Amino acid sequence: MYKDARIYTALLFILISIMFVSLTDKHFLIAAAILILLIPIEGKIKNNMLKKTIEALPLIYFILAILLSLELFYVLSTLLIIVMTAKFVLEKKARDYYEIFIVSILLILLTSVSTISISFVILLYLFLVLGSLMLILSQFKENIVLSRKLVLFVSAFSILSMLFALAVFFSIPRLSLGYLHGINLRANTQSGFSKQVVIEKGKVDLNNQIVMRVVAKNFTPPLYLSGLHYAYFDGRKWKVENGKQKLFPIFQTNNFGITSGMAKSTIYLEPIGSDTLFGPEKFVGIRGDFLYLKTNQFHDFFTDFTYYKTIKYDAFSSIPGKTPIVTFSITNAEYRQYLQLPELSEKFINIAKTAAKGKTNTEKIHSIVNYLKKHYTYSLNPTAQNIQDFVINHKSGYCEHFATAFVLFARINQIPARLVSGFVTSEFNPDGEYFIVRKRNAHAWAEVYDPKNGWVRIDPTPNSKTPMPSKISLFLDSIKMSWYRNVVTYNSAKQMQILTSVQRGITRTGLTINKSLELFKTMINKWRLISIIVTGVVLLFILLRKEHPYQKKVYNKIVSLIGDDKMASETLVEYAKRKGKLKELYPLITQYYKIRFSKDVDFKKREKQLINLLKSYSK
Amino acid sequence: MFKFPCKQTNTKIKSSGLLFFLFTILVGAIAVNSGNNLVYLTFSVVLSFLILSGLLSYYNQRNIEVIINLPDMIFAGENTTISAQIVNKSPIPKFFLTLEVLNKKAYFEEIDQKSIKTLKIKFEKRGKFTLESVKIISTFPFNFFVRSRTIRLKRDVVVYPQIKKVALKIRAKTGQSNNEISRLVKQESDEFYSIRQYKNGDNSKIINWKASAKLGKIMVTEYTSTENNRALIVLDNSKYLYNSIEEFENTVIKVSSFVYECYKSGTKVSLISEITLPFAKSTAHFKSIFNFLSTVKLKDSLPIKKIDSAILPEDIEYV
Repeated sequence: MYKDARIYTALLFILISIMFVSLTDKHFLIAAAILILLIPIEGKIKNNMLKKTIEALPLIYFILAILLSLELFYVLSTLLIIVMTAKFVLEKKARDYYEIFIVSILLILLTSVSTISISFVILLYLFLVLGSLMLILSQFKENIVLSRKLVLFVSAFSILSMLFALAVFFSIPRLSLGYLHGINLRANTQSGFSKQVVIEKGKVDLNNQIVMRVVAKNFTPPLYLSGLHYAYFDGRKWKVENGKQKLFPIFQTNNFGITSGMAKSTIYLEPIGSDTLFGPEKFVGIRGDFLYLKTNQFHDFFTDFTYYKTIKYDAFSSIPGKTPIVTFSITNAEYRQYLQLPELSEKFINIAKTAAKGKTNTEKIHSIVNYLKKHYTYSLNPTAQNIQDFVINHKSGYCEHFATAFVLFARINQIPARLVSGFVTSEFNPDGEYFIVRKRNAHAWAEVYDPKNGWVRIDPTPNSKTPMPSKISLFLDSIKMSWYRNVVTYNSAKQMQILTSVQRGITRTGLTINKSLELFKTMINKWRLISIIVTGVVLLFILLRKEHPYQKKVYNKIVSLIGDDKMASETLVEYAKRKGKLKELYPLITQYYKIRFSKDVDFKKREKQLINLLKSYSK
Repeated sequence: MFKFPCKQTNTKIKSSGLLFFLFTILVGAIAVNSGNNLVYLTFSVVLSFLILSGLLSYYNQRNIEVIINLPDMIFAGENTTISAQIVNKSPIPKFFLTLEVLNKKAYFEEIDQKSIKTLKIKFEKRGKFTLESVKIISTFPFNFFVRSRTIRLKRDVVVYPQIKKVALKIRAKTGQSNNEISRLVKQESDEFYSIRQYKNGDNSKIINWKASAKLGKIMVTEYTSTENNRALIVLDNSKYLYNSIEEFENTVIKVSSFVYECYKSGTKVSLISEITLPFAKSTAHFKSIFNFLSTVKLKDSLPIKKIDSAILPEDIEYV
């Protein structure tokens, strides 16, 4: 079953393409397994009828898929995979490899609008390696030799190409016209949050999937992220106020309700299939890449569109005492609204009155919270049919039961209250310094109105055990966060920020160079005299190191003793050897060398010896 | 061996490249429209793929040297083997280069340090002409572009006249159809003259195997008779002697073929025509004769006076 290198490269390339789409749905890996099983029949189909049938397979599938009204994402992905598989199975020419390459890009495009996984970039690199190798190998006319140089070449090309692509990615101007906010090709949205708060029987599953990452330096855990506020309860569910479609036509600045002194938090919101925006408590302003925002009477924010991609925005919260007070003064009508009650049994009202002990509202609130925490238990599988059933009979439920019960208890006791839904998290990742919000962190709590402080959060739900994530998972998530921060949510603002910092860097470097030159100039001026002295000393030292005139005399004397035709390149030994006087003059020459080159301290003594020796020779 | 310093380049985008280019624009449009950074990333990768393939296609033809080896003697109408060599002067390997010489192509898949391919080229006519250029064509790396680089060459190539099998006619009119002629037909005698190195065209029968084995190169034995053989050939190019150019061309072929026979048999040849070349049998001498014969043209001059001992084109016949 020998196949040449280009077949295996094509196989790996198609497998990588399938892995792209499997980022959105793991079931696509079945297609990869099928492809591997088809290797033995690769290029062996000779029957024309069978060839035509295989070629027609994508079309047959497409017609069937349309007739069966399958989900668009699955239809397109499967169609592209079938095209590639058919191309792989049949005999291939250079053109077929090229077509496989193009189809793969289409598959990547399809994936890119339906995933935000960090694995995308890793697969993209493998796509570059295998794609370039496949296209190169497809051009071989003779036997393919997968030489070491070719492999090195392709590796270098793919690295260079990826680096170049990253450079292009970060420098290409972001001109998002915002017509497509991610495509809901596949309902791959993170749930856990629902606008509808309904008190009914049913099991709740906790899911660890991350829905949000929040960089909130001014907040300490637990971090409450409010989404929606509710005022009207009909006895079974809370009414959703979708707002008055209030438009914010501030296109240029995209600043919504921001004033100075507010606490800024940056939110990376995964697609949750909802238009609700979340922010830390007292979240009153927002800045992001939105065309406009909608808001309702509770100052809840809604996006202009339901996003199916990760979005990033800054949420601004008012800080009591620091921020100029952002008050939501309550009119009498509103006041009455926050005291609205559904039809309740007498028993329920009695329990509510019993729970609220104390004279002041604050005392009553504390008493209700304590009562609920004392007499009711937390359960993810509540059996209560409705809120009255919860309060009177079953006494076990989750956050929505507790918060609703609290609001109703408070209202029965004439305390204006409302329900808030959103998320609460204590999971802080120190690696990236951000809060992680998971599906399981979806939460509901209550707010009571205090004329002095405005709306005050009250969380009557008893604490439930939250598993702490491991350090490794936190580290891995910080990589993911970095991917979100720098790639997924990269926008024109970030681009400008980078350009500005580069500009500053250049200016700073320029200033530093300028400063150094100035310093150098000053030093030269200031230290001119000293530098002259130093130079003089150095020169003197060099001169002193030169041969002593006396030594030169001795040298000349020895030369004259040897002969009168010494060549410039000759040493004394060589000269004496040439003239046949080495044996005779050896003691004299060695003595001279010792004085000339040794670091002997007793220089004078040696010098005397040399002179005596020279005299004896001269005689 | 020629090295070509001048170059001209030409790039054409192939249909696959054009499709990929349009595809890149489409991906870019989707990226801009969606604002989705993963689509932007896909676009960046596709764009870098396109740009780098253009750059690679350019660098694939840089820092290379083309060396072409032509044989010593090129005769018209014969398949001439040319060796084409591409030398890669950079450490980066080069791939898929097609070298085009005189409309013949040699395909090099991978060029490491140097790669050699042979080309068989047939020159139809005798003459002196200039090999204008050689072309390097490549679709590397992804078959998106066809890049060709013309390497200009100012090289004169001399194509000798076509060689055919010829023999001398027996002259009937004169008894002294002379020793030279009869001797020319006879190739060797028994009397040893010298041993020399084998040269192209030598009869394999005269190879001295013993001497070849001793000296490590092919040697041939020369005999006295061969040494003394002489042929005086006359080629008159006076236009008054020929009815057509074809007739003259035929005459040139006959003379050249005969000279070639003499060269092979080691006969001394002297040529009398527009120019006079004395008797000699060295390769350089024969090259001079062939050089003249490759360019000789009809001339408006009076015919040459008859020389009795000379061999005339009429004395030569095709075998």
